[in-house]
Amino acid sequence: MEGNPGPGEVRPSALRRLLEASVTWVLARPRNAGYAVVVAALLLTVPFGGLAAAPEDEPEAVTAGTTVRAAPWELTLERAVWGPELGGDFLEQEGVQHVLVLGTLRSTAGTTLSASELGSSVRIRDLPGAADAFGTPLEDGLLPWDSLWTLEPATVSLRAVAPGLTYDVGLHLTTTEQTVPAEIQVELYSKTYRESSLEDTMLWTDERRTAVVTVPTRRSGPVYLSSWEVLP
Amino acid sequence: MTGWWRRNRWALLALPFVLLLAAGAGSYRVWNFWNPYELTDPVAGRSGEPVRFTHTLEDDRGSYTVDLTVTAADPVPADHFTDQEGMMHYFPRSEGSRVWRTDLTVQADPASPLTGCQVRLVDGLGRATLYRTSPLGGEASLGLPGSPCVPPGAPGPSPDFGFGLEEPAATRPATYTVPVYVRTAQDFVPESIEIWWETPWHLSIDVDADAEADAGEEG
Amino acid sequence: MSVAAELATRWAGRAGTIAFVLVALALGRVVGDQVPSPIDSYARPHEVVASQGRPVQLRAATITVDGVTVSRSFQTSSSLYESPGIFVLADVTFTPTLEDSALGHVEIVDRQGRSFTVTRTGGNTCPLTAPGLPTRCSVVLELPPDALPGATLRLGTDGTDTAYQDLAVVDLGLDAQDAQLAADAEPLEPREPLLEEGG
Repeated sequence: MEGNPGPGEVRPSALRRLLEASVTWVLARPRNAGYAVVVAALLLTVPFGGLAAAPEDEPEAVTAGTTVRAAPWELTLERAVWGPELGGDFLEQEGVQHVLVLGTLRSTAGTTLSASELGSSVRIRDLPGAADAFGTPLEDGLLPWDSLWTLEPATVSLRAVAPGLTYDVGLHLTTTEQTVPAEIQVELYSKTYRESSLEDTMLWTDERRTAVVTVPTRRSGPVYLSSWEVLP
Repeated sequence: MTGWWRRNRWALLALPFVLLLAAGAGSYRVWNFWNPYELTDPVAGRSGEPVRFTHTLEDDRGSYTVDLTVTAADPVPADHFTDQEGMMHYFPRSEGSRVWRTDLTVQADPASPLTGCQVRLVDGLGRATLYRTSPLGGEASLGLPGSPCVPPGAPGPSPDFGFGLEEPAATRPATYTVPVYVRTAQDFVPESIEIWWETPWHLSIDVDADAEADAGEEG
Repeated sequence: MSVAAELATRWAGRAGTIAFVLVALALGRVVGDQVPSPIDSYARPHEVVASQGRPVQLRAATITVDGVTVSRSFQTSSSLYESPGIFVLADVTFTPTLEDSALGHVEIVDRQGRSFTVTRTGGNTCPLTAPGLPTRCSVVLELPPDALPGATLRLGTDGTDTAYQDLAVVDLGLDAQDAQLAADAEPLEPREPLLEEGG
């Protein structure tokens, strides 16, 4: 009788029918097999979060004075000084306060690196009105390319960083606000040396947030000297 | 040995033709990659005689034509220049070098854009030195114009490359004289002066340099 | 043959072709990466090795390294610099051949293969120079003390990309003792080719 399975006969379940239909479809054309592989791969990712954004690694929170290895740099940020005039090349400028983040910098790369390479490795956080030497606001806290200075015996800009040397440096920026908070956060990013995906050149890229340094700040008067004051 | 020559005689006969063919097949590189970027297409003249030069170029608005008549004076040694304010500045000295001054007298329609020319001196050994302000040193590095073919106070119109430059207020005179200073080696005696806007077309004016002239004299 | 079997055969044939192409591509890539690129060998800079005081004839210029001095500090007419390492100053005489040229590539390479280039403003006083004009100028670089022994100076005229360039390679002749000498030395003063006075 139709509709009533006899003894020994198994009613094909809906699942089984679906499976059979799928196999037929996959076998029907080679192209369909390709689609099947892609769908299977997508399904496999579901237990790992599928297409959801991967959580970022929590950067290490470090205190001032700790040496952070953020390739290609080893940076130790100790403190920051600020004021309308810090001496040397940091003279009074309409509407800005100079900020110098002081510490040591060493390059672990095998070649001399341009100072601008430090730009994408350092971002300044929690500094209202953060700007470059000319008062132009920083783009997402990104350190400007011309902010690397050495301060002894006089303030001179450091154009490039030679390998294997530990420099006493000041990272120079300004703020358009009247005061600077007691602490600022400095994010350090590690980079990887690899071939550019567009051209046949090697570059430091793929920034990864590695550490957040909390740097204490202090208001200061003119303490540094300019070159003409130290020349014999 | 004769056996080898006999065996390969057809290949040996073909060899010169094959070599010619190979050289010919690669020769487009001379035309594509060398010729257009070198000064290969001159309009010739000699010092003291006017030479007309016309050259159509492209800018953002389309094409424009550089059209001028140049009379080059003979180069003389110089030890100073006079800036726009009439101040005299000596060129810094440098062992083994001297500065040549070549006056160019230009007749041109004041509406023709003439900014952006390059000038160089060439000597009998084929050595060439470009007009550039930095090797002159001192005040000349900033006090002399980057391109010497127009009077710095009234350069006239510029081609439009999208920089949004304003047209200068002063009109360029229809006839004017500009000095061209070039620092060369002491033993460099210019035999021609070359002026161009875009390679390969250029003005090439033979000159008769007077190395004995007094360097301090105004031309 | 049944329809299913025929489909299976066709499917297997296509899959085989696809697999073959993929394996061939992968294999080609692996082999290609192993074989040295011909461009690497002919783009490599042409090194002309010389000793101090000997002129080196390059394509665009003749270069002589006249002498080498070391110090912890170096001064220009406007600045005084102090290095956490050692400044190495090389006096250079530079004469372009046929066209204007400048000392575009200045590098010191140490025994470990580390590359040092100019770090300070005023560290290369060799300007763009006219052909035939000998320019007496200096280059100043800074090195850690352990880089001094066996370090070589490499000079070229065509900018920082050394591919296809010819380079003068000169042994600086420095050793560990020079690190001590540098500590007590006066500030280095680079030669300035242009003398700023009336003629």
